[in-house]
Amino acid sequence: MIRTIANRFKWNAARYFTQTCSINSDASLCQNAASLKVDQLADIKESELKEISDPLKFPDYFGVRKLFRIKDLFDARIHYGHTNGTLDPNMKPYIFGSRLGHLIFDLDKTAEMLQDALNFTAHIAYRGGIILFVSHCPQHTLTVENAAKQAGEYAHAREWDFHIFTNSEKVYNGVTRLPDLVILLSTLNPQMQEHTAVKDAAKMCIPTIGIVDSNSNPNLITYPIPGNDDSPAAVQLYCNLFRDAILLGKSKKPMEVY
Amino acid sequence: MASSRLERIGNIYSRVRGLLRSGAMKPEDKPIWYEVYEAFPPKVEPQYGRKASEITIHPIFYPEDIVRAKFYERFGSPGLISLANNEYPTPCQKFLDRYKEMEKDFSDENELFEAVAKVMEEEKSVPESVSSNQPDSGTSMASMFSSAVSKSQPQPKINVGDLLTEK
Repeated sequence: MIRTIANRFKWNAARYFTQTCSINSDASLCQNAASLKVDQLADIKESELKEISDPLKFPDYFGVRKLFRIKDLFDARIHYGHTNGTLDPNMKPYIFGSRLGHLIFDLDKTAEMLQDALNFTAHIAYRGGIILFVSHCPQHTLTVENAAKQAGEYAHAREWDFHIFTNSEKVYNGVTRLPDLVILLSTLNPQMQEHTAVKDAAKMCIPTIGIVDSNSNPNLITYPIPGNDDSPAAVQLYCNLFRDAILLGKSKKPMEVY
Repeated sequence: MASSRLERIGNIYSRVRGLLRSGAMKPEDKPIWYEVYEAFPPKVEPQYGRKASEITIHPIFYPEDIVRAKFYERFGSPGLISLANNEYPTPCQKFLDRYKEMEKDFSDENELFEAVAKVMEEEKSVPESVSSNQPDSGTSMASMFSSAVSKSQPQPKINVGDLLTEK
């Protein structure tokens, strides 16, 4: 009698019937496929489920490697650096060579570091971290802010107030939560000096991802990406890639358990 | 909650790890990025005072550059070249393609260059050669400058003392 009722209803109704079955110690009667699956799922502990599908165990859980190819980097002019005279010595490992005085980045290295950075971004977005896009180049303000809007995250593409990170509670007059990741589209400010956000994020133990051009210092940045940060095409490509990585991370977020 | 603002010592990971180990930061206050950093550390550890490596930057040259130099010396630049447009080859590129085709027929580089130049001029694929027409045709920057300098009047020498003592 109970078996036929369970067959007719959906699986969650069947679960109810199986539970009543077990109370009467007639569990052997409720053996239809739906109720069996539900019982097995209920047996697996929540912690074991987490280990099976822990994104950190996979090298590329979100598939960020598929977001770009080296040809896309080339077409967006990411391999163009500045001239020999403005080279920062710390950028030497990432330079392929100098063509008549103009430095060219090694796109193989750039691609590898870009993949690492996108992977990190996707994981932070998956864990519900706040991501802040920072850029001080006035030419790219709109691109950066639009990318942040589309990703559902935050951007600071204007003049940087010195105490935003280090004295945030006074500046904003209340309890503040600092970002969990800062993405710098350009590590220099219009005065060609290192952007304050680089040092301040390192001070406040916030990881940074930064596009370092040939005249920038990558030492304080957690995941530097050597490449051109001046061409609008290059900045548009970076913004698109980071936005896509964030959206990928958010789309795989586990459903909230009530 | 404790924190460490010393950005020049170690990196963010080493500082947070130290805080956690010593007990200054409780495990529940662990930052979101800590486990992600442990699983995927950066290829190069960020460090403030890392010494720059002693790598020499090599200039990039190709074997075709010699032909390119000769071409520009002979024919000059067409003026405007669109770097973004990959469809239409520039006169120099067309010259190089023809050079490669005819390379096997000649052994001497100069002979080959002259032969290719003759063929291309007949086909009108290249602009008229600069050096053959007039030496100071003015299409190159250097010749324009030298002609401008020779044309300009010599500046009269101004004596500032005279200027001030006038009137």
